[in-house]
Amino acid sequence: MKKRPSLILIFASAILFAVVAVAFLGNIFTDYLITDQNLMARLKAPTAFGGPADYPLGTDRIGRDMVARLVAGLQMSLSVALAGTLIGAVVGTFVGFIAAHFRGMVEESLMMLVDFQASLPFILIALTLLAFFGNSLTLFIILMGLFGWETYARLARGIVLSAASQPYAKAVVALGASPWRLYIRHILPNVASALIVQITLTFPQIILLETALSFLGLGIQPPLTSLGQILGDGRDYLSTAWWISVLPGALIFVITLSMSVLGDALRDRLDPMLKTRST
Amino acid sequence: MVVFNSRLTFGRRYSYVTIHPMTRFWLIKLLRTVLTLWLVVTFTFIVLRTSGDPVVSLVGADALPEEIEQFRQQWGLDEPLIVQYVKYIGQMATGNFGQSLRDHRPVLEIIGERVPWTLMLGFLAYLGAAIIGIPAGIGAALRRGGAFDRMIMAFAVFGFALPNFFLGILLILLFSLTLQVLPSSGTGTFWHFIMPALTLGTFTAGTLARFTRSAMLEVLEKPYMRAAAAKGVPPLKRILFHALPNAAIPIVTVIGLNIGHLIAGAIVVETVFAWPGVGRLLVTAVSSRDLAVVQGLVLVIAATMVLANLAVDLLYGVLDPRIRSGGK
Amino acid sequence: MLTRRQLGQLGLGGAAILASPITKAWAGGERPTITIAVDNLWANIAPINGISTTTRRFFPNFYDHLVERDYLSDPEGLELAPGLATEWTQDGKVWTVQLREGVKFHNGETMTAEDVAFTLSSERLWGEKPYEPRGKTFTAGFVRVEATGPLTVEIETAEIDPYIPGKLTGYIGFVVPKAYYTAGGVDGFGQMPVGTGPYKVTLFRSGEVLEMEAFDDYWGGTPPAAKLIWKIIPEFAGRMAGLVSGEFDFIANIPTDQEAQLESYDNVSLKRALAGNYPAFAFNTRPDPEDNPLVDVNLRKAMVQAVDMDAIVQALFGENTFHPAVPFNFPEYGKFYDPDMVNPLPHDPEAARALVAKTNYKGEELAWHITRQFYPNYEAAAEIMVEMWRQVGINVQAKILDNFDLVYTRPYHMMNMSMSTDFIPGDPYQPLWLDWGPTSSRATAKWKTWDPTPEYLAAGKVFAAATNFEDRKAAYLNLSAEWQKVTPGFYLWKSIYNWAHRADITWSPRPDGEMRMFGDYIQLPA
Repeated sequence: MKKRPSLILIFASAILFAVVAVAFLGNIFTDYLITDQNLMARLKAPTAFGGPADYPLGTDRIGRDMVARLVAGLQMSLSVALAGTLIGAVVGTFVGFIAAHFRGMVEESLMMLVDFQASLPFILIALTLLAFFGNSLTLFIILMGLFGWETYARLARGIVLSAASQPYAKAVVALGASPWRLYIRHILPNVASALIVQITLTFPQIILLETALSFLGLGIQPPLTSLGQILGDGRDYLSTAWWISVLPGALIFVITLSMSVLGDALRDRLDPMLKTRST
Repeated sequence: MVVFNSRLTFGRRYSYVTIHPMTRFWLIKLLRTVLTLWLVVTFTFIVLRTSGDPVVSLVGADALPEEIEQFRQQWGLDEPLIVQYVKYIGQMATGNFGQSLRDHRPVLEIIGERVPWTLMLGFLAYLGAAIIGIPAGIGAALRRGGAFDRMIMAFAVFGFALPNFFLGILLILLFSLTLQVLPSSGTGTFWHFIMPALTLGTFTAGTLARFTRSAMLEVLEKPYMRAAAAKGVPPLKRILFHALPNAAIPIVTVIGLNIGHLIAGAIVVETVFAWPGVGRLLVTAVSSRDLAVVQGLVLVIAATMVLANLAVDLLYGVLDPRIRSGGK
Repeated sequence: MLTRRQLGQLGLGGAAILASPITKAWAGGERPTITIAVDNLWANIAPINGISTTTRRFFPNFYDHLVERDYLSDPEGLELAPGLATEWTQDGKVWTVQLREGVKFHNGETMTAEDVAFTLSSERLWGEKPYEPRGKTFTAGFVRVEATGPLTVEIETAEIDPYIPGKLTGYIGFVVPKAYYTAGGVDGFGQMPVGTGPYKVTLFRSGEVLEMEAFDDYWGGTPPAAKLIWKIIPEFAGRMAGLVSGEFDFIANIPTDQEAQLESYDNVSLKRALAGNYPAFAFNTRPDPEDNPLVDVNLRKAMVQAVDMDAIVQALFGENTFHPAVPFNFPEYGKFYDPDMVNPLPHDPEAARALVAKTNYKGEELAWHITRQFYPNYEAAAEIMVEMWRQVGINVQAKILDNFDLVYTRPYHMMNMSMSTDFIPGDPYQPLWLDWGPTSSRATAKWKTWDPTPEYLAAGKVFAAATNFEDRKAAYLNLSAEWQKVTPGFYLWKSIYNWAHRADITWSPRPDGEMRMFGDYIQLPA
């Protein structure tokens, strides 16, 4: 039974679309570069709150334009989250498939890796690796990619196992189809819907993880910037130059909220498949 | 009873003794737990020992080369890695976590001082989350689709979507600086618990609300609910005694699995509120490269999470009679 | 583990305080407890192993210097006053120091010349395997330290050294008890130290809190507070909120941009002091990595000329401090300081570009290692400077690292200096010779950034030997010129320490960063 999309869903989709559009359009919103500093114009409020007209969203602690910073931060946060999510989804699903296909020792060892990953809060692993190996963008993206792969692996494995025991699967194999055909033509589409919902969960979690790491000083490093980095930078100024933190915080909130609404809607739609998945 | 895990013998099956499937299930689980913990410990060792020389930062800036050598010898950091690893595994297994390289106090003692604070904070956060989240979820389920439902779900996502240190600092600025009704950080009285617990619990409250709502929604549609209504059982009783117990399974799962989020949240929340728990200990130990403390903490945290998972599985077995009998 | 007492206290506290969430009741007649919220303590609080800006705050509360700089009567701190030493006389290469009688350590023992001799001994500081090896830098030239009477100590140096008393106002001047120290070892001592100061350490958890209680047998009089609690509150918001709401009596380390807001509260006083201390960075002048572009002095000089440090300091600190334009022409040098000296490398982007053109620099990335949050505003200044360098075609990447281990890990091209530049009052010895000379860590450590040139070393020898003012001044100018020929580093600004405290407490700060909670420095409300 198809329900008409609710108002909230439309709103959420629109926001996400707008956010992505801003990220793509990038530098057209302002003439300033993110490196343009104006030492005379430090910590100026957004124009709507009494600040100068040439900085619509205010400036940060060394006089850089907030619009430029936010756009750049948005681009970075979205890219990192997307990269991380996709890597995690692909790797995790692949591992799940392998485990479910080969069973036995292979499955056991792969599931042990899954257990290992699940036995520690990921921020702990990220914190330790980034601190001890030094923080480079490559390491950071790899880490974001490792976030949540175990969820995808478990998901994929579970779905493949239950699907493989279905009569239709056995029929297909009996008819002579190779296992690959079975997986790609028949099982993957089923997995896909579960994966998509999981992606809408993982994506904002990565953004939030990156924000928490920035708070601890281990997020994206200057001169690169991200929403989490701007937010962390501005936290000492919350009572004086609140816009430095509140603006990226609001953006993060809005993106997470919209993704969550979207994810819920998708899950509702694909409900029958997902009822058996508990996480 | 001697048990032979038939999985480990390639090819033939030997069963000297028949064992109850449940016992086997639990034994395998235990084995996996131990193996997982071993993996954790090995991983930690590899990361910590292969990532540069920790000694310089521990001894301090401008330490002279002799001082560094002295220190390294004292802590056995000049031995080959394999030797260090074997010693290390032996120590971990016997519960000797060594001494903090920074404070020169036994690691177990340091961790032991901090754990109760995190536990208390976590417990209060969970309690608050449950008190707020579960009824909210139930209410939202009962009034599905209405304004209340939407509002609850919005708040739920709020808890999840707002970076928790941001929320924490906002709370400090509001309640301590401006209104001056709550203490800003540290410990000392019951009031000191409120803001940290609130900040830590919002994530779980939100998740609990959502899961309770969907669990209740599923359960409410079941035939036995309608049967109970037909029998004339009043609504409150229906919810409490018919719906809730069946919805308990996913709820318990969430509580168990959220321990990870709680610990992750504690890392940030404890730093914001200067809370003397294990989260803050981890941050300071990592940034000062205190290997012994980091190793000990990682093991303790992993053990906690794994035990929590085991507990959830156990509860599952208790709550869902279908599992108890070994079938699935 | 939480003791039952603590649990009980929590419960009682909870019950009693349920009525008022924030309590700061100072019962009339009783001595109060002072709580100070800080951003950090240190791992080890032995006098030398614990050297850092954070320990400097609280050290003088439980350690005493042999010689004091009395900032209350002389804001420049150039005058020396008696501390644990009452008199000091020089006879050629030997200084004789007379000690105060009847000074008690916190463990009840009386201070004798043996303790002082041990404090300055080769066994502890400058010998083969000293307890606190970093003491070597401060005891350069020491040949013999001996207790020649129950309250007299002789210090003999290799060359005539007029600055011994000045050195005794520093970290090596903190007297430690020989018996207790040797019994516990430096590590044990560093976790539970014993000194002669007005407060004795009762609890030390390096990541959390440091507690001290009044030591009523203090030779300088009864301390005004019953207890001092130094709490680590890492978030500035927490420190600020706690001070304003009355939970803390003092806070330290306030970001410059937040000073105005803090000052707006009636119940808070803000204090600032210009410190005798200049954060800086060092250029890595050595070919390590092999392709290090900074081996070319023209590139280094270009970098100095590319930045408008005055504008940066103005933007970040307002009028409160300045940039020392001419290297080693510091006001702390007393008579050696020349306010009219001309800056040989003024801000001039055109000149900078010309200098860059003279080198082989092709835009390679220069890594600048910075320790996170070690100096206030350092990271902000770094970002600004990176942009200014980019404008003249120099590509610098500031890497903010968690701790010094990572900062010292090569490869790096520039590094923030972990040891700020302290001074011996009125003399250029430190930092010009002490911090860049052949005994300094910058020239000897694994992470060393320069090899002193032969000319520098020769000039240094002359300088160290010069005793009368004219000779010394000429030698100093020569030495400074040799340093500037190489320009192995760049000094940024004069540090400002700041603190805020309850308005009803009267308190005097010190430019060296010490927070003294006793004597004429503090007056608590009745």
